[in-house]
Amino acid sequence: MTRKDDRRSPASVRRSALWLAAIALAIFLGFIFLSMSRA
Amino acid sequence: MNTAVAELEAHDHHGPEKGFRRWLFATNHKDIGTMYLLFSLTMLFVGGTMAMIIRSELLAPGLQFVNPDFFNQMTTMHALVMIFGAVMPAFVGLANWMVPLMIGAPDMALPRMNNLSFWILPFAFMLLLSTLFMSGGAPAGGWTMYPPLVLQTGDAFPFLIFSVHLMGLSSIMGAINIIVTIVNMRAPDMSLLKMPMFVWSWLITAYLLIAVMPVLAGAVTMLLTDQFFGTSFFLAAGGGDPVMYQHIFWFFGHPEVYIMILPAFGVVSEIIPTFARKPLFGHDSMVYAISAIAFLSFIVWAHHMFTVGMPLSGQLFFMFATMLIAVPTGVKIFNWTATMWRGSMTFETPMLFAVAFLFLFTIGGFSGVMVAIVPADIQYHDSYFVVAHFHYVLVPGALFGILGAVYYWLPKWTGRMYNEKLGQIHFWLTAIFVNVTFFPMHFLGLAGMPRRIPDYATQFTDWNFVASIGAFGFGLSQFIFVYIVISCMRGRGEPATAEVWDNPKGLEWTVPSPAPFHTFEVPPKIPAAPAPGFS
Repeated sequence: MTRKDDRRSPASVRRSALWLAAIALAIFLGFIFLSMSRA
Repeated sequence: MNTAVAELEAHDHHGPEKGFRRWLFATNHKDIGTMYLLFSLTMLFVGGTMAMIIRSELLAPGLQFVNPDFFNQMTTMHALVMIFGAVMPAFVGLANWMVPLMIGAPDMALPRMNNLSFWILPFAFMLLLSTLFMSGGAPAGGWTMYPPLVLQTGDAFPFLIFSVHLMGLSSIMGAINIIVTIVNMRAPDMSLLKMPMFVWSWLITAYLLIAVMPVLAGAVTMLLTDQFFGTSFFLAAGGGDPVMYQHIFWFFGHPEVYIMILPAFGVVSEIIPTFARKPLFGHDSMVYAISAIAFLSFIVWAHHMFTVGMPLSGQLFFMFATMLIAVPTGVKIFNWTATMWRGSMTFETPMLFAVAFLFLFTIGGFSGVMVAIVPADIQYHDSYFVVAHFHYVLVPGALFGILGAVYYWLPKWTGRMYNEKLGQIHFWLTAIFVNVTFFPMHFLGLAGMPRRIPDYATQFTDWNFVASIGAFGFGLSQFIFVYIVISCMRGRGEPATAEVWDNPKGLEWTVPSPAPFHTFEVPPKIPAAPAPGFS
């Protein structure tokens, strides 16, 4: 399997999606925690 | 053969399901794209009805149709419905339909999540619109939901917060899907710089969405806990800071403006080369310009808050950073102009919308530079000048981008050519009335008329009358658009060829019209040499 085929595999797609979801969750929680330290 | 391709081949013989199951359980990107676009069209008319109520009340001085509180509900709901219900879902619908077709992918990367992203939206808006029938009415504190004012909202408050959460969730899931589709599912030979500009604009927009929608979700969550769980994030009495909310909100809010305009940039970058019959001028510089605009959008948020009060260094930083955005935006405007230079131009309806976009969005851009100037903004702030500015960016900007895109790709979606004459009538009425509606608002703002008021001093009467007449004409003109779209969907009109236009570039024109239910189950070959439309 070449690197380009691997990019389209379900595992690779799932990995990319989970990374992005984790980033979104981190930003959500990060802003609330940062606000807690100010308020 | 990998698993994904094998699964697709096992399914490639069936067509769409019958009846409501096709739509409720849809996982096909074209079906979900269609649902997004129809939902957006519905919301355009819901938000448009609210705009008509606002303009009816402002037709003449004094109170004639609605009470002031209901007027405030209308301004708040009009903005929420148009931003989150009309403009954003329309662009997500266009992305759903066109991104897989343009990059040679068989579908979106996460089709079931795609279904969820869409079906969350009707529930979010049912929640939001149900507040109109609650005691205390709908939210009336403005779409920005500033505390402490928004905390005075009645029963509608938790519904507002929950609906914003749902809209955010839908947007984030949609953005994840678009990024993963573009990054993972491109045809093997399509390098990043070979991607069409619409795909590029959406890739950057989706990153913006993932970066800022959680910020909005965080802000409204803190409003919720301030109201119901005893926290004091934004309550001065409890040691909190209401201005902090404004900082957090606009850290979301300014990139949100670009979320609504970057895909329109992408659409215009597709339409102009087709009808100028020339490759897009400066393809790579367009990519860098969009990236620069996206980066700058994160460091200009406080220009919405100059009147709040901030150190001189803060004023200067946010003023100059804002003005800097004019540079990459100028690069794009000049590139589109250079694309048309000495082209064999024809002016079918999509091109008319694209050219009007160029002229009118630039007016909105210039007034944007005006309101970026701190001492001037102290005067413009909260006046109709600001209303004129953002409507020029969002209506002949974002909305014209959407309308141009629909005319451009409608034959590909439905297999029928739209009625060109009616399309041109729709364009001219829309383009004339949009200026009749919004240009006088510059004069009203400069003369001192504040925004978000149901009544005004008599010196503002004439231009308000003109703006209201323009708004009614603009609203009525959109029924022509609905007629055109429904006609094509019902199979009326000349059958469209696969190419539709005169030698357009891009993979979407290599599949038949209407695009079959399944496309690119085998990845297409991309030309190795730089080819217009691919490079």
